Amino acid sequence: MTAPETRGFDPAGYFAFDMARGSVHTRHGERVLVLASDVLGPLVSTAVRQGDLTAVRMLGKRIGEDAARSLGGDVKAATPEAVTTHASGMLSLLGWGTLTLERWGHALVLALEGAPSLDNERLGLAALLGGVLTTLGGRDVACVPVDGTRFVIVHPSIAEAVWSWSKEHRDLASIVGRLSPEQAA
Amino acid sequence: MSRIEKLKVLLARVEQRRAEPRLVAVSSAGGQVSANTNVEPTRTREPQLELAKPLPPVAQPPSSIPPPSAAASISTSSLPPVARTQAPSSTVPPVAPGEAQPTGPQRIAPQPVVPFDSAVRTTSAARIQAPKTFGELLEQSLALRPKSG
Repeated sequence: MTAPETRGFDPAGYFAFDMARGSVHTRHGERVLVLASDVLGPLVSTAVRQGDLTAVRMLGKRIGEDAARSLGGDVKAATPEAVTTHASGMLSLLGWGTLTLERWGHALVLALEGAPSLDNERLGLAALLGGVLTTLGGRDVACVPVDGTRFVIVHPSIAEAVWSWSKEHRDLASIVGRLSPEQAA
Repeated sequence: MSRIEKLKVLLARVEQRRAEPRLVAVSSAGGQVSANTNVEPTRTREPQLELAKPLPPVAQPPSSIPPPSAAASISTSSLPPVARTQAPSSTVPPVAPGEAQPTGPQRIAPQPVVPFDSAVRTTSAARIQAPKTFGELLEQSLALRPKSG
């Protein structure tokens, strides 16, 4: 029997197109819509302007749930490679690009290559990845865009500060260098 | 043409019609539904003929078409972009500190995950005691706070 740790991501049969009923479902029975990325982009831009990315984050959580089901075990106890395999597989399957995970000292950084362009500051993608990681990690997680493709994973309470450094055009090494492990009380 | 000859012709048409009863063709491979134009309409009404009997269901209403979901399901082999996605594996060679980062899907989950020493000056002790699980790594990242001062 293959352990969840070593099982690869299987995209086969993820979508079922029901022509008679005019619907598309995932293999978990959830109905989905196939949208053009240039339709979704303006919707996300509007959400960013209104400061409410709840729907995008919710989408990310759904993707995280599917990745966790695909992994098939305790996500937090799995290796980073296994989690990234299934999260990247789900994101690729849905057209969001390919995901990699990097460690910069104590900081975890997600890199999303080939993602569709949604909004200039990539806050839509940050919300999406935040949703994915929140589900996989089992607690609230924020992803802050720091350069063209990367998002640093931080506690939501410091996301605003990290985002302000990023807007000052500080590079990733500089941003991570300004963080240190929280001291125990 | 005599009446008997007309009946023979009609019976021949009936036999031909039974051989081609489908009005709708569903092509699962192409995901297409098309009409079968070879079926001829029946015009006779003679009660003595077999035509008076109910014919096998020739024209199926669209709603009775079995959903071709299985045929339309995406398979790995039919989707080259998905199939090309390379999942990370433990065979991905680690990138030594200072080396250029690999590009493309091979960068997915390098094994081991690379510490970028030069960038953040991670101490040796931290590398040796590096946690192994995703949960531990995540907790470590979430515990980061801005340095005071």
